[in-house]
Amino acid sequence: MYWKQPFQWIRSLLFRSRADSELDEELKFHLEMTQRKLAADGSAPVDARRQAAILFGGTEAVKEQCRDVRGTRWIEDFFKDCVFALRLLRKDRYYTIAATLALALGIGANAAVFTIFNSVALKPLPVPDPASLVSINRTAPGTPLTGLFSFADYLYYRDRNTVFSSLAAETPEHLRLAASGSAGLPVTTAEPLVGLFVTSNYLATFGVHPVVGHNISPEDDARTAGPYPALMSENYWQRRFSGDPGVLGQSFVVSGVSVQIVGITPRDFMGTRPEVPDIWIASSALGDPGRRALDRTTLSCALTGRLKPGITLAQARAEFAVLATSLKNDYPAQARQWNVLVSPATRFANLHFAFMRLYAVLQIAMVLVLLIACTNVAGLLLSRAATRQREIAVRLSLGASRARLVRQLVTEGTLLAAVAGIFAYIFALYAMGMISRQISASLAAGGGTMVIDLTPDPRAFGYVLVLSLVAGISFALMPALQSTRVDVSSALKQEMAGFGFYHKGRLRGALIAAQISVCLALLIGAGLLVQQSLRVLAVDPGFETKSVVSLQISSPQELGYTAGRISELQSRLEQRLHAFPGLVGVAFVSRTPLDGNVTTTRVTRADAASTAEAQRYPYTYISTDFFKTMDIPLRRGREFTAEELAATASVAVVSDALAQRLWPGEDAIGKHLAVGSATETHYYGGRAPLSSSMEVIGVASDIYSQDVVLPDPGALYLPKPPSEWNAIALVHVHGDANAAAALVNEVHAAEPNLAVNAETLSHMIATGEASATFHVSSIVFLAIGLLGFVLASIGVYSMVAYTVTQQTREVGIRMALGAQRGQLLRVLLAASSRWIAAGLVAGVVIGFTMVRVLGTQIPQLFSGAANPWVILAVSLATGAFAMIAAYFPARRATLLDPATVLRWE
Amino acid sequence: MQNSGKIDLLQGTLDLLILRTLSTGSMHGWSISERIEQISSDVLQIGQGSLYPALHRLERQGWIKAEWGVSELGRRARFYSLTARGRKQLEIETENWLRFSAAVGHVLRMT
Repeated sequence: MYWKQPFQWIRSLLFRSRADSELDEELKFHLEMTQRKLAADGSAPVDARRQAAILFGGTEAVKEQCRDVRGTRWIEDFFKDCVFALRLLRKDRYYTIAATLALALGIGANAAVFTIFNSVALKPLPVPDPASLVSINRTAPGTPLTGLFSFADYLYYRDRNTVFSSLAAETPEHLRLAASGSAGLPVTTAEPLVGLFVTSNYLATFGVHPVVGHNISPEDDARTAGPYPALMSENYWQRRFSGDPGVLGQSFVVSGVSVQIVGITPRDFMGTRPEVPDIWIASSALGDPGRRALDRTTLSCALTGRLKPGITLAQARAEFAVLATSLKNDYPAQARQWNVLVSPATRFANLHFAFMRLYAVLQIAMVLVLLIACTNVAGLLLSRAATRQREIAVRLSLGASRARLVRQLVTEGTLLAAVAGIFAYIFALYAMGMISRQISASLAAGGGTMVIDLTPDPRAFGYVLVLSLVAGISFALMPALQSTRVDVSSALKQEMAGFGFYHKGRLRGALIAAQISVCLALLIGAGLLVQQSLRVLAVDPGFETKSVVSLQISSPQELGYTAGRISELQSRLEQRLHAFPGLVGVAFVSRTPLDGNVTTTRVTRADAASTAEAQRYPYTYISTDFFKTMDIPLRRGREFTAEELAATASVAVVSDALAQRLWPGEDAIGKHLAVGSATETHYYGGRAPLSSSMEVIGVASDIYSQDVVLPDPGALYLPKPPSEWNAIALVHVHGDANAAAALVNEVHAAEPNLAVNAETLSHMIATGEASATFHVSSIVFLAIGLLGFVLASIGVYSMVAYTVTQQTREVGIRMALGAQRGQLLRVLLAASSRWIAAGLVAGVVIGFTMVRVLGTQIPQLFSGAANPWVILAVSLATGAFAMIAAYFPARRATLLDPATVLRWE
Repeated sequence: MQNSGKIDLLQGTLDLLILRTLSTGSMHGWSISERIEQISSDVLQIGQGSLYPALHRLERQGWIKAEWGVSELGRRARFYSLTARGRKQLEIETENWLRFSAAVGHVLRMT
């Protein structure tokens, strides 16, 4: 009757008390029968009863055995343990709070990191059938980095593949919204936008339709002149234009390109981008489609495709491997050693590896914090288990098995962890909400809408639950095993722990050392990051930043100016600027150093074989007085002259590094360069430099124009064509803190309807993305380090407090025998300080290794030698704090009255 | 060393004895232990501490079933009886026991 088994089992569980009373009755019956038999054999009734009882043995023991047989024992035990544990936790309130807090912080930090990871990387894209969306990236052997394709390669893959029902290309750009074509929607300053240039099938690939208006049509892919059709995100539409339907059909000028809004995309739709773009523009706006179809060298496109029904990812991979090979064969010069990576589409498509590495680092840090929390609580548990020594000994002597007791202690620990886990989850959600708002706010400066969905997710909750259980079991097990390995008789006699339990002292000491070492390692990592970010802030980029204002001026073309009027306006503006009080210099440029835009071109010596294989260097179009305005010393030669600008002469200024690279050891002045290649395009209708022979007339010092970590490998400065509107003016003003506002007025005095964005270069750099990354990372690591620090301090304090309590009797005896307070203090602190020192040494080693490893994984953040003074300072600080934490309980012990101590039981 | 006359029963053997006893009819725990004592002439004495756990175990395994009934005292008592599966199990265990004891006998008689 096996089918009856589960019923019996459940019945035993639910009707436990009834089953118990039935058993009772059965045994009583047996006892009575035994009595009667003995009486019948001739014993007196009283004797009979006694005999029977003796023969019967312990009723309770029999009942226990029967209950054991029932098979429901372990669940009953578990419930009993839980109830007992709850009672105990409530009794020792302070300990419970301390342990719960420590655990909640540790688990909560982990939960927070995982929640971000989950919402960004694990959650499927919020589009129909996300499993069939695929990202295609370019890879090179030997690096985990991925790259973009050229538009020509995109067409190659699009036309030859058979696995995708739709393959779209996208090019992300940071743009500036300069003006509106009509008077209805004024745009007063040049606003930053996050833009995406897309092919017409982009929305269709994602299965998304505009909520208002219509999509970019396929014909627009071949458009050669503006206004180009564009879509606006609903987020941006609401935020900037309050959902004004008049936006549709409007023309805007975006970074010099005229676009017309034809539709609005659904709220929060962001494709595979990390944030919601503000605007989607037809990709033909990037340049003449015919020319782009032949340009295999400008790498700008990310590809996303939707698999045809029934086609698997493996099939797509196989086909693209074949296509990539045939591409290499057809165009050997450009294709090089690239391979193609086909992977499921996720939010951080081509940043995937970078993001994963960053996440891995954060996760490791969080695990370390959890480790500290666990050792912390393990220490607390150990202390408590020791004070319950007597209880444990009694239980053991009553016949409890060691396994049973360990089970009970572990249940206690796990319950604590579970409670902490609940708090942790709540804390994590709250903290995450706050942090994500902070991040969105600080990154909003560059445009786009950061959407981090942090709604509670069963996966995240499950993760927290598992983590709590694992943590609970792991930190409860050791102390449980330790404390049940007890010599029952001596524990019952309540002998002092200090005398016989030296192995326990080792465990305690090891826990202290472990906490301190992990904490120190974290702090060292944090210290390095802080050091780096300070260095970044302090780096001299090679040009003047505080007194130089950059003015981004919209083009008067949008206001309807003719070419003649434009040049007249230009000279008027220049006159006004030159007359500005305190002026040191004015220059007009195509891009500002460190503004986040980088344009590069190939540069070689004019007498080199070809430019096809030449290296790329950043270039800038500049006007006269550029180097004077920016305070960049000219090592040799001179600036451009007005005549050279007017004639667009074939002259150039190179940076020191570039001059050394092309003509090592020689004077670069008078030498000739070859620049550019015929197939390259430049964005926004501007001209890419192209010349087979340019004379070098000046050599300038090197500057940082791409990022704040590395100086330019070389830079090229070219004369600005006179026909182009001077969109960016750099004005160096001496002594005026409010120059920016005054300069805007100057521009408006020349033409009130121009949109101007003015900021000092130092402000621009400080709020730029590169700096922001540093600041956020260092704050995060510092917070983690401090968290670990707090936990470690609590740990050390409680450990030492416990140790001292255990040795109270010994202290009392010594004091009674005449020992001085100072001596006693030293003795009490001696052992602790040894462990603290061990922890410090281990911490330095771990920290050092950690920083080294991180330096190879995330060089942007962790490169640079760790300053040994920083490490020393942090170690000393940690050690000092630990000693202070140890000092207080020790001191308290020596202040006790020896008589009281000796009488204590 | 004196032979105390008491033999400690192995768990499996106890099961076998209980099943065999119950094969003659349904009875309560007390009767089972009395019957075994009688038939074995007091050689096999089953302590209550072993009897009831064994009975509950056999019940859980489905070889015997229990019912409350009226005892000779007029009080309630739990009566155990063999199930069909129990009968089969009895056959198997009896055969195993006979084979085992024959083998032991052979070894003891060897020269």
